[in-house]
Amino acid sequence: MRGSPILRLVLMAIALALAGIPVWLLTRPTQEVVAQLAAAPESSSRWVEVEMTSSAPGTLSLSALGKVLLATSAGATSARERVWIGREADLVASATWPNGDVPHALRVVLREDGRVTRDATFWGAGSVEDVVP
Amino acid sequence: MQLTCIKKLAGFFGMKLSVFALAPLAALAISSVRGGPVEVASLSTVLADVVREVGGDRVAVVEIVKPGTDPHLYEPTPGDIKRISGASLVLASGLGFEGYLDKLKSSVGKGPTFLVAGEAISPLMVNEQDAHDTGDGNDHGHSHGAGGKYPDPHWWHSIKNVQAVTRQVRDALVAADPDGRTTYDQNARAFDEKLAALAKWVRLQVAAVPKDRRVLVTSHDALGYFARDYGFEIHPVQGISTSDQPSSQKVRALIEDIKGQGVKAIFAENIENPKVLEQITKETGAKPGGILYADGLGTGPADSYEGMMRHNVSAIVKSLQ
Repeated sequence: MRGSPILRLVLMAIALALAGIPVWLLTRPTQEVVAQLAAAPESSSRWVEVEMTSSAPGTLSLSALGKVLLATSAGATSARERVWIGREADLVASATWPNGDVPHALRVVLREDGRVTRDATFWGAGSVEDVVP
Repeated sequence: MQLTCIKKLAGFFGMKLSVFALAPLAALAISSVRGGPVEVASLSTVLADVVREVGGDRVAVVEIVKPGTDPHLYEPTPGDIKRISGASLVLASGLGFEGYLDKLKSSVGKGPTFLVAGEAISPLMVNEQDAHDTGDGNDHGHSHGAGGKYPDPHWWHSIKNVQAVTRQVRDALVAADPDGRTTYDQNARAFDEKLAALAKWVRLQVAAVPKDRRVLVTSHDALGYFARDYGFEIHPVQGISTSDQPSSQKVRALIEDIKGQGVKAIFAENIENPKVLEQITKETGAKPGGILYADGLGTGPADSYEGMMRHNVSAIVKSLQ
């Protein structure tokens, strides 16, 4: 092929650019797709790491809409588990302690992707049950 | 006369008590008679319950607006004004709930002290448009604010608000009757604890309802504070006042909304004609969710604030679960 190398380079660049146009038209993200992605409902459930800590040995549990997600046997001071939680549900934490005269604390920490999303402490004598805010 | 009675009693028991020995007791008795109970007139059934809880035996409460009366439509009679004039303390909800309040204050003069509960809370602001369907210019039941918004006067559907108003009532009673401070402090603290336990009970009850089902279709827009506290969406047939009548277009739009959202139940109120709600229930297929006490206390189990909240929450949870 004759001619200046610079001219050949320019011609080749133009040819490549022209060939790229239909490829770009076929593969570009369209407005509809973007709109659909934006409107897509948030996943209704997700994995959450739950950590429950008690100031005294007791029975600890976490439930949602009446379904038990995490439960320990008596005498536990902590529990840690990865649970599948629906976003449409409130989480109810509870603990029972054998000594009903002294107030004890139950701490519930929730993490998603390693980030703490909820951290609440509840106090009760004998037992406690409340919604994790 | 007090001393004579006490001396006669002493004689009856064969006790030889001197006047000097009886003096402190007599002084206490005279002081108690002179003070008497604090006369309270209440324009709100909820406030009547709060002041009874805080005041105990030291208050005598006259309920001007009685349970089961529609407070949005109530107007004081000459007899009511006379009774209010004789009270030391008058309790009003405020935030425009008593559209007649300013006139009433002028009528009764400087005698009683007015406690306006709405001044103790941060009101929920509602869009002007949401309440006025008819454009009849009826301002009854709320006050207008800036920017097309006005305060929702149904503050008692948030337990936190009732706790704030309890402290306000305690302070008003202490000002009216400083000798009763200890009683008022103790009673207010006990009622606050009762309210905290009630709030926890409500949280646990509502937790049984999936969040996507927390939609309330009610007669009028009275449960805004409850909706805010517990994550409900409200679809009222009427506006903020029971005197705001819905247009046919609004009823039609509401029916479409209810069908679209798959709302399970529709709630009526104890003081209203449920005709429109019946029509909506029939057309949407949603079931009647029972009667709610929205504008104040009722009778029977709903004759106290705690009873009213337990009744309403139980009805809502049972229907939406």
